[in-house]
Amino acid sequence: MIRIILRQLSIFASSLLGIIFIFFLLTQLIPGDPVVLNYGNLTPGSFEYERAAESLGVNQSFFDQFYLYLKRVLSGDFGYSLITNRSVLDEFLTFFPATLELSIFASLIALILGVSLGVFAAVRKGTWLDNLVMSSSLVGYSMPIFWWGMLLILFFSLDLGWAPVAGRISYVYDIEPVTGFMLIDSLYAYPKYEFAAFYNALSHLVLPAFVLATVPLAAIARMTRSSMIEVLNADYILTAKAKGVSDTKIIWVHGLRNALIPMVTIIGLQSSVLLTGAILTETIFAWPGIGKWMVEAIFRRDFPTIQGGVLLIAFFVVLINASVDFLYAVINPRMRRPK
Amino acid sequence: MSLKTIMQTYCNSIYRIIITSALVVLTGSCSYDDVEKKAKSSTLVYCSEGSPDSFDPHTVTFGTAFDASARQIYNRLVEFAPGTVELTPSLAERWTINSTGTQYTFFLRKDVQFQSNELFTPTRNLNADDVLFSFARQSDPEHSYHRVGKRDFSYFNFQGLHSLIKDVVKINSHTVQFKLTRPYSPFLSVLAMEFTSIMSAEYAEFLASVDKKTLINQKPIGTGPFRLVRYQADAYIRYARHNNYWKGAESIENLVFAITPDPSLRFARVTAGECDVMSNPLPIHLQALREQSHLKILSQRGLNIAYWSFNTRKPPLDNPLVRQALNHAVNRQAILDAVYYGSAELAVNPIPPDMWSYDKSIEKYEYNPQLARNLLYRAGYPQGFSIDIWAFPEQRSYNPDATKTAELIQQDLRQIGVNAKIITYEVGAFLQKVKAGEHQTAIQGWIADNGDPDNFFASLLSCDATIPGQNSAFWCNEEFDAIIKDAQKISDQQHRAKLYQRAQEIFKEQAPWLTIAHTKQNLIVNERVHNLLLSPSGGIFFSGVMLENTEQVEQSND
Amino acid sequence: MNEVILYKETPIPGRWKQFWGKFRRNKGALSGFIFLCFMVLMAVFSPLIAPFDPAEQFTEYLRTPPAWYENGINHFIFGTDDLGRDLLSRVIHGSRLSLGLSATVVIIAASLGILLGAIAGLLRGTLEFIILRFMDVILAIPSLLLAIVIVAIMGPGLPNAVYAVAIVLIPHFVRIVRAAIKEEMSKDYVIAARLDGASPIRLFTHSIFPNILPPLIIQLTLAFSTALVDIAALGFLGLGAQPPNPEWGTILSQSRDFIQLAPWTVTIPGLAILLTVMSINLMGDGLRDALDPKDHRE
Repeated sequence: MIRIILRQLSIFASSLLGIIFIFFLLTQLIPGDPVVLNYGNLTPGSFEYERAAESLGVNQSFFDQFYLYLKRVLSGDFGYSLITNRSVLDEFLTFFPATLELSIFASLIALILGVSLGVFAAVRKGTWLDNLVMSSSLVGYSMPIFWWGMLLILFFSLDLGWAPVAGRISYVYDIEPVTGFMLIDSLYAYPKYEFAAFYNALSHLVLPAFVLATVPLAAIARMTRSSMIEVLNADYILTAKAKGVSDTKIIWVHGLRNALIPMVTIIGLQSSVLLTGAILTETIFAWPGIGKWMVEAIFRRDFPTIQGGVLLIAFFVVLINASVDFLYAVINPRMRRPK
Repeated sequence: MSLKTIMQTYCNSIYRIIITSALVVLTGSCSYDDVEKKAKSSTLVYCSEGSPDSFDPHTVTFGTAFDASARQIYNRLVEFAPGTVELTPSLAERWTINSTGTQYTFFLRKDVQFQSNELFTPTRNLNADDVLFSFARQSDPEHSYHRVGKRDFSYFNFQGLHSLIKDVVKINSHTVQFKLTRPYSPFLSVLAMEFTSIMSAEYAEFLASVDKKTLINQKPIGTGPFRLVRYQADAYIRYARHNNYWKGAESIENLVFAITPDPSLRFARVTAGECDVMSNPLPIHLQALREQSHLKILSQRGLNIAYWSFNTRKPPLDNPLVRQALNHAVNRQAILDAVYYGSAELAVNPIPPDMWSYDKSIEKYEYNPQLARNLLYRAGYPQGFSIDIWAFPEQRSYNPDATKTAELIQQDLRQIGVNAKIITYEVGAFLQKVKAGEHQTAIQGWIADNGDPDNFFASLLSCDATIPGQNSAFWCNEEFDAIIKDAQKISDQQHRAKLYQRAQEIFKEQAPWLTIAHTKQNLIVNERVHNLLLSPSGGIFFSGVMLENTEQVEQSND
Repeated sequence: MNEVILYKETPIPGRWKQFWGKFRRNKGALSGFIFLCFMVLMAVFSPLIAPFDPAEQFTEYLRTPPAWYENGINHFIFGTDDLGRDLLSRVIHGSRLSLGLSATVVIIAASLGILLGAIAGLLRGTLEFIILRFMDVILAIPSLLLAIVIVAIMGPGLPNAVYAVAIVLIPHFVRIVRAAIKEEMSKDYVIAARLDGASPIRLFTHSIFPNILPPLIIQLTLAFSTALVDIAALGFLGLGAQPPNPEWGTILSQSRDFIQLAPWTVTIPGLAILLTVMSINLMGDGLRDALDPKDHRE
């Protein structure tokens, strides 16, 4: 166990270092005065300019500059936004919970529905139900979600009026951002609104989460199906059948359990897919998360925010991947004792 | 073992959870309708078009930022009466002007209280020190609040107040005197503009003492009807009423700006009842609105203009013949139809027809590609040339779609052999680059800040305005400039009007812009909102607005 | 598999014939392939097929609904947009942009990816380490975000969008090629070739490359559909093709304002994207099944 942890940690650390180094290289490649890019329109020669230049180590050697950059990043200094003058880390932490909330909810939808549909299709293999599940998963898998989101808003929010159009919660509720997770924060406001705010937040979450979940859901359904088919044909399942174990038990206990193991890594890879999707989903649903934050920063040419924000997102993805690898090592008995 | 049991119950429990949670959500959202209704009856939600870059009315330049700061949080010495550009007393209850027109003395109200926030509670009412602070901060480069936020005082500079205001003197605790270097007739109108909002000197001192001066941009304290509660960039701005407001507390308890840059989403939100007021509807939304009975349109002819400016410092646009040719080449009626859907009128002069001194005798440039080609030939460009058209991809009240306008112009120019390339930037970058003169041509617009024609001529077309780059044509005509300067010295309106009419003639002949349109200002408003008035200058003020109690209406319907 | 006919020699079909036979039997894959061929033909001959110029504005026919609507007219089968441009012509011309750009992206990404993957797989050592670490970083950043950032640095516009999406797709090729090479290198036939004194380049082109072709082809179709969606997404965000280019994503972003009043300007270009991506994915699935040597079931 300790060996696994140590190995994962060392991979994690070296990935982080690699990312920081390559980001540093990228920042060197951006055309323009690095001081102006990082600190805004300062006049060369002014006191502020010189101080900024010194903190960047502009006149020092390449490796000294990298050392300064590394030191800044590791001490949590990701620069300051040119537009709002706030620290990029602070901004990231304000916007991140919204994205995380959306992504977690979307992953839950994708996992629960995806696995269920996949198992369902595998068990009814070859029937019209299987075909239906498979063809809709193909559609879902190919879906340009920015278009999908627009269609769903048009249908469910505007035509039917079942779901809110955009945002995280109705603005009539005054919710103080305590954790940044609207579902939790709205419960903090219980004395004022009872559960009304919570339900409202939940109703705002459903449509964007479903849109974001579409592609992973389809992918998971397809993978579960093929993995499940393989497992159901395996000898031990046939043995169990022969022993008279009930069908439900075979499917859900013996089948799914083994079918899911190889899928853990693939589900982990979906974190990057989810974040990519979040950029588009957040733009369409006016969801104030990191995706929308990044797009806005790009339109505003706010380089420190772009640079710091992308670095932080990359850290997060590496962290997720490392944890997934770790989880895989723990749950897969074959990985546990390599011989 | 545990995994097994989890799997066993997986099937049943998952579906149970899904079904129960769906039921809970459905029933739950119904049973809490009352709570929502109650919250809704005291909150007005305004779907605004963008995030303010700061809450400091002295430094911001966009209408969006003034809407978020000056127009809700702050007051000025004099203000425009709601829905008009007539001057009325505000923080100054009265004023006197000396005979030469160079000394303005203002007598302040004594009962004006500042707002408070979690950091600061004011200990005194508004006095002369606050006025002095608000002007010294903008005029004095050595002032400790001059450098806060690394920003320019753009309005102060391009209204020429640096050279105009000689001194601001405190006569006593509630009397302030402005001494001007020269008579300047639009001065009172200028003081009613948002950038002269009065801040609390006491708050500034407090922030300086805790070394958090930049909070003056982020956590504003003013005297106005609403105080800022919370702001999340790109999401919302929340205000609460200022209970000690000197005009009496507002009837709306909470005011929220739901920041929704995408106009279609904004329209969707207002039709779904998620917001009560929608800013800058597209003309097409107004057409669609007839089906929505719970919404109404507030409409007013606005003091604004959309124009296409030619950077006269860059060849071939330095040649007036070329500029005239471009004026003849564009079918503006097609733009009015396709972009404005008829909710605008064709602009002939740089000022709108509702403004005094508008010259009706000037003829518009007719759409005539043949004439345009001839002019280009005479200018020495028989083969045409290539130019770029800059447009920013955001909607403004004076132009619902600048990129679409650019596309239409691009097509027209092709007919006279001019090959145009459309370049778009996000607004901030766009303005920065245009101010620096990087563009060849740009599609822009202007909304009156005050009712004075000087606000158009001097702000957009004078030589002084080329330095901050607000004059994006970088057009500096000596005769024109002299006329504008003269008109500022005279207080007789008829005499001034004559001068401005001559200026419009020069403008027509020199054609530094293609004037496109004057639009109507529109807001889409839920019928439960009452007393909301549109300001001709395009800003939105929520002071005095009332919300109908929706519950009562329903009961009376039964 | 039981029906082996005795006394009659069954010729073992060649590699490609075998593949085609399998592929043809997969109805989904075949229909995807046919639809894609149709789209490609449309893209190539778009100026001949399209009834109108995509930029031509019929100002009297603003927002005419498609022909199957009550007040639609047959003149404009898919209706017109808010500037009175014929939507069918725009979608047809857009196919040229969308498919052509995606193909360019895939060619750039595949050639660079194969080159880097081959270097990493054949040379090993520090160079391999550097290449792999670099690819890891690219993979750690969500693909669209990376493309957006690259566009942000280089400025919006079509060529930059193409480079950006291509860069994002490189790592997958590198990984596949490298993994395949590693696997092949340990096989006997390669060892034999090496013992014969073949140079690494000859080894790669003659022995290894033909054998890693199947996974590569599958990756190519995957990359193609990703490229199509990503370019459309960039266009949608206003960072890719700029108006009035009729790229599908750009059309969508422009017609977004009219979703309530002219929904067809949103549904039709989106449907074009969906159908094209779907046909590519269908074909990809078919290829995977047909090329998979392990799959002998059914």
